[in-house]
Amino acid sequence: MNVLIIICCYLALLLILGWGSGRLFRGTSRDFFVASHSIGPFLLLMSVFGTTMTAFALVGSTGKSFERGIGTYGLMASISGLVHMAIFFLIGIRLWALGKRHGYLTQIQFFRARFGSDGLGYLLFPILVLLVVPYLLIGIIGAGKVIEPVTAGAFPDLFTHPTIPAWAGGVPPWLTGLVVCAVVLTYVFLGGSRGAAIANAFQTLVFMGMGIVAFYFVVQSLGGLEQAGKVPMRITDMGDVVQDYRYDQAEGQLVANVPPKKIGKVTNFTNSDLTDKHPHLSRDTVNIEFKKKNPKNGELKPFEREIGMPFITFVTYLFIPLSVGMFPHLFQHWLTARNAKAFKLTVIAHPICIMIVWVPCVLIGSWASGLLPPGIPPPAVLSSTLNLLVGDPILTGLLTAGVLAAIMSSLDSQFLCLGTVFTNDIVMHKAGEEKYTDKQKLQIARWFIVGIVSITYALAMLVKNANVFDLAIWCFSGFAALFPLVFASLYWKRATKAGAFACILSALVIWLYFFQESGYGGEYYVGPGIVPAAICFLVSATALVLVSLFTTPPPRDTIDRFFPSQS
Amino acid sequence: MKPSPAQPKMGIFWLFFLLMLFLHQDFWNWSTEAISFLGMPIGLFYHAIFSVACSLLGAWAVIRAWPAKWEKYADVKDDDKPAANQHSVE
Repeated sequence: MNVLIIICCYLALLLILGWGSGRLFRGTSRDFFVASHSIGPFLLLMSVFGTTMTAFALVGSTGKSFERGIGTYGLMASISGLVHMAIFFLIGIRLWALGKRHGYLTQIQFFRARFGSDGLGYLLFPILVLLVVPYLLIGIIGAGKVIEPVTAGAFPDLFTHPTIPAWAGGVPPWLTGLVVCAVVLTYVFLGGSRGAAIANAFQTLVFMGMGIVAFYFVVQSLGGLEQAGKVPMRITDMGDVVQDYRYDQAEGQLVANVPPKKIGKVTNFTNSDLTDKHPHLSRDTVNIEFKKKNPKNGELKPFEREIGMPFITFVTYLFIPLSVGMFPHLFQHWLTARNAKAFKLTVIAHPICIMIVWVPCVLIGSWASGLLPPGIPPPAVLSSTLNLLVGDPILTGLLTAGVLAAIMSSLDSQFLCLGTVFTNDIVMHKAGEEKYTDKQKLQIARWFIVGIVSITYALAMLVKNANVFDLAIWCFSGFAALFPLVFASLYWKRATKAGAFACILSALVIWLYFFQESGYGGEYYVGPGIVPAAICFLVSATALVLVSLFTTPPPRDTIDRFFPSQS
Repeated sequence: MKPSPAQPKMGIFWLFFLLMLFLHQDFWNWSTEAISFLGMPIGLFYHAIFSVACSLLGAWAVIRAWPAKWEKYADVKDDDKPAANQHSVE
């Protein structure tokens, strides 16, 4: 119950912060959408970083590391540090400058002007919404997965249908999702873009701080860093996969399993080099068969998992972080910057911030492989580990608040962005700027946000057991497939309207094809382990280049406006 | 608008970027699970250091290759500033 009280206090604090930032709101639509271009370096860093780190970063990375090992960090985190930094520097600053000078509030306004096409906006709008919705889903699903285990037993008579029997009495995912959406909607409505930036900064500090605290206590419980390194599951000389340790909650310490507890077996074990290896600590691939208990009838069911990662997968994952260049909510954050210099801190500090959050999560996920049952749902690994190793309800409550902070600091920007895009790119664009008053524009944005959040919430309840990491990868893959569009629009004068259409349509078709092949959101690779994002990117880039070369170049005034130094 | 002095430095930024892309594919650490500094397996420690190197590249970029021309571009007030929602011709 203490955990729940702390979480409720944190949510109340956010509402107070929202009310406070609402007092700074200037009442105009421009202030609501882009904070009147007034955000300085620190708030920009915190809001951009908080927006890019969501359930995916904390819950997803721990779960993925539990499944695949420490390679998860290189797969997503370190490459994101490089690619995001380059995108902020090469694309963010240019888009900010063009947006500020020409008054663009959204990505679609920029693309419409760059390619001289209304239709491009109408094509892009549903695609951006389609891709942001899975991003919202992972936040809502992730929040539900985190809260239920840590509140288990709090309401035994009220919540009697838990996801797994051990979590009986915990706050169910439907209620967590509802509360999280309501809190985020409230502070976004009150403070708009500035409110979201302030809340993001606060929440980013909370989740970074709590991540470090969580890591400290987990390490203490495991007996120090050196001992923790011995905890991950191990392969024996017979090809059995064992857990050498268990955590004794009564004693509050790590205890050796004598004999080691067998939890699985390497499939087709012939390689003696695997003896005594901890597969989570390197990146060699090993296929292991585990068993998991069916929560309904207690029956043990075998399942296979590949630990480690193929080199080709690791290499082609570099296409995934390109998605940042096309995130509509990040475009909006860039436009909130007071000046170009505000970007400097973000360019420098973003990779380090990623490291501070991801390294502890990846280590915790790997260590957890030696302590938790292998069949546990990956999104529940972080909270289950905290519950097992930290135990103290106050600390667990604070750490869970940190995870919620990471989730909500992305949801707010995405909610706001969808309202901004709909109001400006569809309603205002069709009706004209003068038809609606500023107050009416705000009402339109807010009602659209409520509509989208309701639909997303319903979808989240339908796919509540989806893997947060895999769902996020599909969302990122779609945005990465569109990356050639933004890059060419800024760096290639010859990119044409027809080329832009070809790029978007080919990206859409190939992404939908792979998404359907994956069973609508599962882990999926092409051939020897190539991520679909790499192929989507190459197809859309090729379409853009070929079609642009065979169509009439953009008019001179477009070139003059978007390529000033070369005019 | 005059070409910015930062322009040649952008080429150096791209070179560093490509070098970092190569260094990211650390196949030489693939199979080892040796524990290094701070109890981290070498494959993780290497990438943590890689993250720090990315920050250093970012710091070099903002100091030596800062696109000052775009700052100036944003500050110019156009008399004929177009409305963002102006309908364009298909």
